[in-house]
Amino acid sequence: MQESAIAAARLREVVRSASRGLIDREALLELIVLAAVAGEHVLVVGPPGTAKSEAARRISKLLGGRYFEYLLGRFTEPAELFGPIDLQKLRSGVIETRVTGMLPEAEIAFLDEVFRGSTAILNTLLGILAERRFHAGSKVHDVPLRVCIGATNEIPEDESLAAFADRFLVQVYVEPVSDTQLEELLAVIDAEHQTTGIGTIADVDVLREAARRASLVQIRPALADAVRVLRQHAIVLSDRRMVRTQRLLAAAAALDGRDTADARDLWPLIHAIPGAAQQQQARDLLREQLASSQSQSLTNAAEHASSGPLVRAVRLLETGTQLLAQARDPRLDLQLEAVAREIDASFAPERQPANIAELRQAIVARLATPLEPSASGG
Amino acid sequence: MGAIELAWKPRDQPLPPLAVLGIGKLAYTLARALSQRPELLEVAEVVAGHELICVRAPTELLPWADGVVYLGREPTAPELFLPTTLTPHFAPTLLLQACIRAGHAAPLCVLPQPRCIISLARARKADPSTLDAWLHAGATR
Repeated sequence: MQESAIAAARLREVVRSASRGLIDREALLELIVLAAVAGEHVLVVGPPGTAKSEAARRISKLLGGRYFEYLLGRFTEPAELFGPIDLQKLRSGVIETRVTGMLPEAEIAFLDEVFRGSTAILNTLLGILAERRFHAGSKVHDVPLRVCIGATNEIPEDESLAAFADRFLVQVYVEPVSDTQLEELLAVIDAEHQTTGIGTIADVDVLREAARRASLVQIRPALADAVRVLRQHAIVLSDRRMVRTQRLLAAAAALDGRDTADARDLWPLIHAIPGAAQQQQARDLLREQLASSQSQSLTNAAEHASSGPLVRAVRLLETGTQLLAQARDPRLDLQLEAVAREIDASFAPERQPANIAELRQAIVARLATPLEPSASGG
Repeated sequence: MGAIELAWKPRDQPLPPLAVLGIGKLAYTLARALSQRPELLEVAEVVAGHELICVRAPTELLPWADGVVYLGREPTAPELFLPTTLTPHFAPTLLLQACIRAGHAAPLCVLPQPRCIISLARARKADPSTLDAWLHAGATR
């Protein structure tokens, strides 16, 4: 348990460090970590230039895992991903692939435009994603892949790609940064972030083991009820998706230091639902079931999935505390007002958690004090 | 038929705020915030009365002051705006119908404290000179 707690703390720091300078991508980073702990893969759907590959690179560097990245195209050859045929062995009549530095040796992989690969590539990838095995002629390689992040601008409608898409249990939809965060995005060029040495792949493995041992007895009825609600509204999860979603729930519990998944951990179900519109509809349909969602490690992802008050309170506290720690200026005052607005709009006064009420008082006191005019005025 | 007491209870999930209401001194605080923010003035729709102002705008532009009330659109009765953290004890659709039958034009908002119904049917873009005149009228009362 102690080992798990240390690993979880390091992964929290990995996400925090990776998100510095990435605007509005904290939930994506957290979901990559969640998928890695659960032993599942992530499909990121979004337009070009929305930091999909940067998020994957950062997580990989901070975890120190063997990383493989490739942009797939219609003419990409299998050897470009899986390695060339070993010509020396071929002369002896043995067909083997040289996988050194290639996808079959990767611990974290990012495949851009993942659906553009040829049938040969996608079929081979299916085996790697599903079984973590690469068949190369006479040899079978065990692939140490913890998580594969696939990226695409849009999910193709081609039915023949559906089986491949289904291998990515977690689906995340990203949009360009909103108007209210443009200034922060433009300031990114000045931001620094640590690129190595915070966590290791071993931390993922420790938590993966903890997730495997986690009890799902408490959460299974809630999961089944949630799936029934979704089915009543024509949102259907395949049997495979529904069963594998349990791994995400167990991983959420393990990342929070618990050995039993409960109602707090139901929120990852949202990200196992294919389709952005269906995910949004599911959030609305399951509001009540997700109301007690909570996660200390994956705050942004939990809130994004559930809009739950407890995760919202954690986020507001973190944001408000950081803003209050900075020197005063008009831009920060507007941000503090935004925090106060969200507190007042989200929590009736009698239902404000004590720490939120304290934060609110501190913000009110700060904003009640007139801002000193700048020295350069006049 | 006798009147029915309207009771309120907390919502499990708050409504996204789409409007803000200020009464008394807070009405003038909101009006000043509106007049000082061109980006808000450009998109906001306002309805104002005696020591009361309601501003409709995108969530991220809504002004804040200590004590204002944020209003959201009730999902089951979209022409009804309610405090984001509260819901009436009986069906919002019935509440809306009762308000309309009583002569209030939708969209409208209903508040528990103070107990009032405010029609937003005449909300419109705030004209800076009208806003200044309203603020001046309030200051000289």
